[in-house]
Amino acid sequence: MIYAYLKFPNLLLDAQSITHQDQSIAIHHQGKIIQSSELAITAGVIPGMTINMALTLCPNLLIQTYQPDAERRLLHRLALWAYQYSHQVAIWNKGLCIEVSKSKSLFGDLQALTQILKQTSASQNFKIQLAFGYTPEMAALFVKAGVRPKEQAFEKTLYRLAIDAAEIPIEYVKRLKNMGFRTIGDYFGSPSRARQARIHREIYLYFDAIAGRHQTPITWFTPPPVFNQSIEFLRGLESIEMLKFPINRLTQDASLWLTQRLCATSRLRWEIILENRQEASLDITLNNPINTASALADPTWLHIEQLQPQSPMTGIRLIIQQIHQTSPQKSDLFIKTQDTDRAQLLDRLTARLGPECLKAPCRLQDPRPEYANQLHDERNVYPLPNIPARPIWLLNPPESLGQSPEKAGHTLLQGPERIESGWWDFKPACRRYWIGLFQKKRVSWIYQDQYSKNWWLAGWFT
Amino acid sequence: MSINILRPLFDAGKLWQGNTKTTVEVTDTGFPELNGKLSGRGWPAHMLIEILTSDIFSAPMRCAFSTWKTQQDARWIALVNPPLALCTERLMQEGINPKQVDVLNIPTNQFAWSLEQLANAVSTRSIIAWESKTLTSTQLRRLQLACQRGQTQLFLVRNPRNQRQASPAPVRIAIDSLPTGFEIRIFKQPGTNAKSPVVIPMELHWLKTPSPVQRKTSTLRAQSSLH
Repeated sequence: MIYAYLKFPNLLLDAQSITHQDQSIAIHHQGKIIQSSELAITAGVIPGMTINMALTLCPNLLIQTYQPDAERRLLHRLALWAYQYSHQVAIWNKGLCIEVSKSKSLFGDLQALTQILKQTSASQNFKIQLAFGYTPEMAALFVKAGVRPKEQAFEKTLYRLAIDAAEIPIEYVKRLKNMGFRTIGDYFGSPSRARQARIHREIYLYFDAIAGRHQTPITWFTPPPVFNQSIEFLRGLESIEMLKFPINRLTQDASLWLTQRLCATSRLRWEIILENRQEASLDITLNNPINTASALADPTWLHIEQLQPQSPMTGIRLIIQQIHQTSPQKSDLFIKTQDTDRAQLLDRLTARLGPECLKAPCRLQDPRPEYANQLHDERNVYPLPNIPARPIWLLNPPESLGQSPEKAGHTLLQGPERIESGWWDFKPACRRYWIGLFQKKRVSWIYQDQYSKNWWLAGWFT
Repeated sequence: MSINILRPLFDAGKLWQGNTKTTVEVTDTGFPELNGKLSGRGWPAHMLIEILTSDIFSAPMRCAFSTWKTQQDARWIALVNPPLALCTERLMQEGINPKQVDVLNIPTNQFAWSLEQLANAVSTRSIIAWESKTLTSTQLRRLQLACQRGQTQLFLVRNPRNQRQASPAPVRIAIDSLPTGFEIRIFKQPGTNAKSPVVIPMELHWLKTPSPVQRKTSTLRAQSSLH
């Protein structure tokens, strides 16, 4: 077994959901600085310092309180990201532990895997430090020591490390030093029984773990059954435009979550948390189940840009509950792009214009033309019986021509076609349809109502 | 400059000489006389075609219908802001599958955006749109580019007063109604000069005007069959 340990040096800063690259920010816990941004470090603000000292050194320092919940949520998100590289991921020691012996055959050697992890984390704006080892403890020790040995050199490198590098209380380090152990190699050079008799059991097991001789039980991470992720903003956002980055981040995570489960979704629920403690929710229904980040973000953005929040926005949450199983996309040379393209087009149009904008011409089973020819959301097309020529345009409602079509400018050309129907719905129709010529220019479709004897213009031919 | 240096540009179709015949993918107009007047012997399949006419009901739809009938595939057809309600039965009589037709009613301020989305989509074969507010030159240029990207044909029905304005549409035609049909004037098209007008006969031109007696008789016959 080979494990990777991933440490996130800016974890607490990243958990604050603010950009810390270009400003002096420090996180404090119980009055002491525990993490500071690069600019703050340049100004002399280092972990362990008191707040007063930090503010004296850097007066424009932005100080934030340590938020364990935000840290936990972020680690959870990172575990979800790491899950694409191994099915065994654990949130461990304020970092991530990944079992990579099987991933090696998928991604290449450990060097290639390191490159992939570094590149993808950089693309998500996360800084990582990682190393590999036979146990998570060994990998974590290498990260702490700042070394990343190859698989063949794990033991050799470990034995060369100073005993101070071990993650054990300082009093035990002193005690081991007093026993004459300067390096970890010295420790393992002594007889096992002698060590076991003189050293505390926990410390003894820890050293066995870093040497790969003892496996500590690990609780592996499993992706949640429902995607429910949020981003809180440090300051209330007043412009919808500013939501673009958080939306992209959430849709990327959602896409990852769906892809890992070989699933897609057609329903998204967005909740925007406002400063006045109210929430604006937005339910989006897509035409086809999708799982790519761009396909999720695109209709979302078209919907959200129409929102007009009443007060500044302090957070945004994406919830996906309904998912469908998908099969991996085939890499067929002759694959039809129309279907996916069509679904995305419909999503975009309905997102911006509303579902009412797009209709399908339908033919229903009714002899009356105004009932037979309708525009609907669903495509119902019943077979066409053998009927005389119909015009391309219908007037709904028809236009009155009075008692005589000639007086209205229509000369009768061909007909009549008799339609008598509608006895069942109390809207009976008894009509005679004619093809006419309007002002010797346009071909019309007119009818005489047999009850009132009035003439009506029903449509136009081309 | 030696022509050999320019050869890659010629081969890529990015540069051509004045006497080179350009090949543009076209769709049959459905009217042999009109095909003869168009440079590629049909409507360009992936271009913006401006139809300038005051007869917004008949002529543009006749042009679109005739070409849709001649070439059908799995892609969709769209009618954007049609002036009246479309008759599905007529579509079926013409052999056009209504399941492959979309009808869109779009507000004026979203018209250009929606058309661009439709033209951009590979799934859309042909569009006929009735302009509600005069589109700007930039908007028309974007639509032309979208047609090329999405390989879509777009018939844009516009007011004839726009004829005087320059337009980035590669094909521009004016249609005038005549008692016998309508006259099509192609005043802009790629690769050739303006051509003489073509007269397309009215639909149902074969119908004979019945005499008033004939009309009376047929009305009476129809009435008698009721009872």
